[in-house]
Amino acid sequence: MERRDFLAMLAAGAGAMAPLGRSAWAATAPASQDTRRKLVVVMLRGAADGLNIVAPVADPDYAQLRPTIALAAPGKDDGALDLDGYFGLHPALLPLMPLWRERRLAFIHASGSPDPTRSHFDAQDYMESATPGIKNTPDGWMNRLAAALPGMAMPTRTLSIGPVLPRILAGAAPAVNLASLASAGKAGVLERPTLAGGFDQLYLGHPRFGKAYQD
Amino acid sequence: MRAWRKLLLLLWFVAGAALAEAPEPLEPLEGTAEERASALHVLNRLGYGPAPGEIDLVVRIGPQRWIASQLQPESLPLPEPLAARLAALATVHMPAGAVLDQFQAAQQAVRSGAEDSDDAKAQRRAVLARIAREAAEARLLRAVASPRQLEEVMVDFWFNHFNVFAGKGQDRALVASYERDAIRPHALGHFRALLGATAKHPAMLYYLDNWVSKAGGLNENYARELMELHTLGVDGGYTQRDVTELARMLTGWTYVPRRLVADNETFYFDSRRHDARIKQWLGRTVTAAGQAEGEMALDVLAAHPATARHIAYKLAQYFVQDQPPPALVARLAQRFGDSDGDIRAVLQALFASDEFMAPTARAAKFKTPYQYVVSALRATGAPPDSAKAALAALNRLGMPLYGCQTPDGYKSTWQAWLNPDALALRIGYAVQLGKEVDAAALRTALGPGIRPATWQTVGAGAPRVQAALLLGSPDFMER
Repeated sequence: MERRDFLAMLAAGAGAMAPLGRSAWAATAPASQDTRRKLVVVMLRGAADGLNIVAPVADPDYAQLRPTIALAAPGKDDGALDLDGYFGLHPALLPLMPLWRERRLAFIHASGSPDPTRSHFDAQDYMESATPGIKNTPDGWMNRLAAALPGMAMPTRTLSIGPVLPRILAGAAPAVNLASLASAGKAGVLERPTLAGGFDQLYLGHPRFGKAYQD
Repeated sequence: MRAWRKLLLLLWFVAGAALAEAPEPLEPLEGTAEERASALHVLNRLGYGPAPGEIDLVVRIGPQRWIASQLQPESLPLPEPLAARLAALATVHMPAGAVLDQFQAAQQAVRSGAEDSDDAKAQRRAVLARIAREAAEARLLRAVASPRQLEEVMVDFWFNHFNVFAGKGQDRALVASYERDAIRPHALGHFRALLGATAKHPAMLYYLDNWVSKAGGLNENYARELMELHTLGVDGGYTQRDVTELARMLTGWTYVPRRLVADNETFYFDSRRHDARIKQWLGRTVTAAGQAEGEMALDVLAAHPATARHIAYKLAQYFVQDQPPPALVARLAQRFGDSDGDIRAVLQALFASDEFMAPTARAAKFKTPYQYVVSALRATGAPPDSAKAALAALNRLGMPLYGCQTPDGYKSTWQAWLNPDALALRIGYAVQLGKEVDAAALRTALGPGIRPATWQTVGAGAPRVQAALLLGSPDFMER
């Protein structure tokens, strides 16, 4: 899925999660608390030019420092969408505007890791471990969050969509990875009785694989 | 356990009692239990696990002699059927420029719109698919069937260390040449030669953008990964300034796609693009010397103690255990330095170490998806036409061949690959592959790789699922 389609879908308020190639993660509150609130974290692993998404269009330096790529002022052709008189949103993000007007959308601008590494991998790693500068943190912050939430720790409380369980969900609390939504719906070979019994016997209680198998 | 699971387990016992044939008594085995265990260990680590009969072979000649022969792959001829199948994969043997020519001609036909556009698109897809399929099939064929197992392991190791992504533009056409011309000739050779070959190959020049880097339009991507990933390591003691200065030294290292196609010129130093001003790099002053600046940088990086440590750690992690013993890493780094980066000498020291041969090191690694799939194909004698399903499985398991997008390559640790989804998908592949496989023969091939308790459980299953259970068992996930 294209990023912009995904963002558009979020903007449309769709309740379902969507497979988006690389990574999305979600944590849900325990069912016992009867809340449908969910936290969805989407990590876009390329790069995004924050100043081209939420641009300080009213700042006189902005157009001067970006003579060829600055967004036009609100009201002009292809101009930015006015947010607060100073910042403007990229026009391609028009579907987000209703959420902004309803005060259900916020931007946290110019934020980042305090660690000065120029390594792309380390920077992403710190985003997921939430321990900037410390590389040997074994788990990810969403896993620690899941462990700290009250209520029953269901294996499906935290879900990720992507090729493998991401660093952000690694750790002691149970978490489930779906390679894609398409595969999540399909009955796996483990639904077949002639096989499931045998694999259950081999795996359940296994010291190294038991937990991963059961989850 | 949910109720239906309990029911299934019950069904299992009933079915097992009714259908199971008692495991057949095995023929007398070659060697003692200890000899067989260490034969399996070296087959699992220097190669992709045992093919039928190989445990016996290693027991007969002894693991040390087998290791010595693996370190001299040229002494092991490729079997005729393998050579014939490789020869049939035409694009794999073509010069890089000729493959790029095909690739660009297909792209061009779509753009020009001269022919019917849908036809041209289908044609382009067919050309691209053929290039990708042949490269992947060649790799897989060799990994499964080559007696030079260590060479195949090291080709994969170094490709991954100097990773390029086939999905990025022209690199689709260049990966086969990259592996054949830059990686394979040096897989057991000298690190400096390997480093230089990757630095000058168009696949790397394109992937990390050095081909467009020039004075006044600097691109730091290659310079950064050259130090962070290929040599010193992220804690190798360099600064952002060193990255920029190295990038300046490497300006002008490029290739010209037109001349690559016409004359197969794979590398070109363009002095007009080179930044000739003085640089300060890793504490030294570098005066203008054209291409020699970059060559000097590769010399310095290849001989740097941080590089020796970085490579030693990665090798020990791959071949011994996820957290390699620090004393072993230190010894291997020493060997790397003493031998001027002789990869064969470092591997020799690694395989001769107590840490490598220790019983605690056995089965201590979780197979990566690639190791899992290749080892399954080897153990089952690779049924005909199994390549397509194997490549599809690698895609599903998150480890597509030539498909790692980021320059850090795939990891080789438990942490990176063990998760519920991965186990379920591996079991799915085991069931698919196991359909046509004889379980008793498979068990014999795997020897001590299948624990007695596992075989007991498997033997209680219906005969037609026993091979699937073996291939999907916890025992077969480890190496």
